[in-house]
Amino acid sequence: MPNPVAVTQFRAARLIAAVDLRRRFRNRSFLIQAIGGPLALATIISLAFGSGGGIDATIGVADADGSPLASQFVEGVTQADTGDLRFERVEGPDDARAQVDDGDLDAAVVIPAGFAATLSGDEPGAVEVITEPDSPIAAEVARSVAGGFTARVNAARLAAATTVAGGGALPPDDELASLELPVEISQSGTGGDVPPAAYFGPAMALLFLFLLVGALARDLLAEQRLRVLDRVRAAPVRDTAILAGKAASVVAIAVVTLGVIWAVTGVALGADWGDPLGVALLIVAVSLTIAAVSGLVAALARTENSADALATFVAFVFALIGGNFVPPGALPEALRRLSLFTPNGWALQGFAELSVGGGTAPDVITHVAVLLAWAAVCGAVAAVVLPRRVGSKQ
Amino acid sequence: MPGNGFDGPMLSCRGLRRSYGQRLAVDGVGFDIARGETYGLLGPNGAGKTTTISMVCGLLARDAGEVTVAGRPMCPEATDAKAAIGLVPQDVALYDNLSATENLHFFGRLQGLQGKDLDRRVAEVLHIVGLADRADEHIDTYSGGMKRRANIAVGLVHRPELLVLDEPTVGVDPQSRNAILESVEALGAEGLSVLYTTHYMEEAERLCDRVGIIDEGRLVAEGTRRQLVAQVGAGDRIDVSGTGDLDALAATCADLPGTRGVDRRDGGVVVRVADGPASLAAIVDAAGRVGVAIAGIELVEPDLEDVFLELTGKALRD
Repeated sequence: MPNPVAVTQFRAARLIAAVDLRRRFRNRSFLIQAIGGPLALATIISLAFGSGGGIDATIGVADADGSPLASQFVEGVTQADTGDLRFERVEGPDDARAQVDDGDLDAAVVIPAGFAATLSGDEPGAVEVITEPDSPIAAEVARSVAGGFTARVNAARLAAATTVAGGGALPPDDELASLELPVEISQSGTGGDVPPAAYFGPAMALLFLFLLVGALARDLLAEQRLRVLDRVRAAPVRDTAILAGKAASVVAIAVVTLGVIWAVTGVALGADWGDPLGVALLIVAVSLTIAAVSGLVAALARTENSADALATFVAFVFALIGGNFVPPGALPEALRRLSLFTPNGWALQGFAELSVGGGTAPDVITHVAVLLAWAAVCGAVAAVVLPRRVGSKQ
Repeated sequence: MPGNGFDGPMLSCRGLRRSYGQRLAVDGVGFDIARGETYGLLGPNGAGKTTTISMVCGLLARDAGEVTVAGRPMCPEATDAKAAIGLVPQDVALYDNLSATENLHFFGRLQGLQGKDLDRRVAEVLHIVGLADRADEHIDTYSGGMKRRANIAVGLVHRPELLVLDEPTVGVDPQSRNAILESVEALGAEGLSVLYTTHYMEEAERLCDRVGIIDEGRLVAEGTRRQLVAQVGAGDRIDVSGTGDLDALAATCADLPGTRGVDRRDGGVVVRVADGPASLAAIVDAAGRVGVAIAGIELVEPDLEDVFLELTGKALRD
């Protein structure tokens, strides 16, 4: 038979959570922050990254050298399968420059006349890159392609020089110009064909939810200041039931926010977040973490304003380190490791594992476990400190 | 709950003590409230009234002392004792983006009411506080007085045996204040036990059967108004206004038998005496002797303000 006190306290916690949710979902600014903000930002960032998560650009390639080496390069890049990144053969340097100026090309790579002859010369050859300021990403790609090609050519020059230094004979120029230097171009974005909304949807939702932590903590402190909390505590309700009710409402808010963004980015932006069970596990785990961090902020903040300030600091530090603005794959290795010191980092890498990596629920068990550990630690500290701040032990 | 067979005091406090760090906020406070009695806790701001009722209501852990409500021990984890109390905090402790009805339903449910009983009781208390016609509007659309009435309604919703009101008229306009006092009088007349804290002497005199005077965390005296006056022997006050040498009148009155003190005020003299009617003729005679033309003379019986002054050496609003 259930313990009647436990039943009463559970009922009280449920009532507290329900009234909290009712109040919050009536608040327009809350809805904007919890749902509208992350959706808008996720949509904007996703559109900025393009539908495939890669680069949409056309780069011209001109062969003014006419050597087999140059032809091989032009043929290699123009035939490579690079999705929305297209390479087009152009007539020559002037044509390339004119098309870039007109905006028909985003950038161009020109193999100058006499380039192949530099293989046996003293001076290394230079590949010209034509860019325009409105297409910085295409310019970077063009520089990268040109750099890759010249690196291979310089490696061939080094081999030739080594041969000569060892007493060997340099092959004839026509043989050098016919060297096969394979061209490899591949494109990597946030994950091949996965729309960026699958990454930035949860990323923006988590950013806004961590920002909301301040509002949730501030509300608790305001309820204490206005003595609404005293009135609740004057009822036959224990402090643990009150805190459980408040935490449950934060968990519900986070689950609803992430759930809505999951649904909307799926329907409107075609984002596939991956295995639904894995996504659901991550959503629940990170929602528990957010509730625990919210409790911790309320426990540590002295005033409502300091709760806001602390939560904003935490949200942005977690977001910057955790990869809410830049996918971990695009971060330097050191930062990628640092991201694992944040709950955002674990959650986002878990979501990426499902959407980009095609993983399933078992693949994110570690992520879920780490998030639950975060929730347990923050929740334990909050459970000890909060009753001293807002409960009978103050 | 009503009729639980306990026939002792509705509230019994013994030796309540509570410190905040080094500061002793409440030091050995003890008092009883009988069933149907309205008890006032009168003291200036910072005297320890709110800390005392926080311990009475189980909001704050005690350093020492005991509280029982209708015989049930009170502590922060108590459920039976808490169910017997209706708390009306000093601030408007309501969710302002919920309506009065929604607030009442929420707090009523927390107290264990449900279903038709809850609906019926919500309608009753809305009627009692005169908010039935605005019941479904959000609290943040109410005037200050309406918010205060809604605040009281929530304290009443679960039919408490003891209503605890913490300075419910602070910052309230005179009209709303009067409405609140009338409500409390009516509830007291219906037999509800009431603990009422205030620093307004006139509210304590009007509402309370007995008053406890609290200062610097200690209950310095308690009883009915008459008992308190008799206890401290506050005596009467005679206010004289007139023209002439008022300083000479003050000096003469100070030497009269039965005089306890004299204050020189603008346009007059205030004489505190042991027995007003007995001293009245002597003061009029003294005025004639020093050439003061009396414009007005008034015999004032001591009030709780005087009692407080006698007991603590300071005014209630110091």
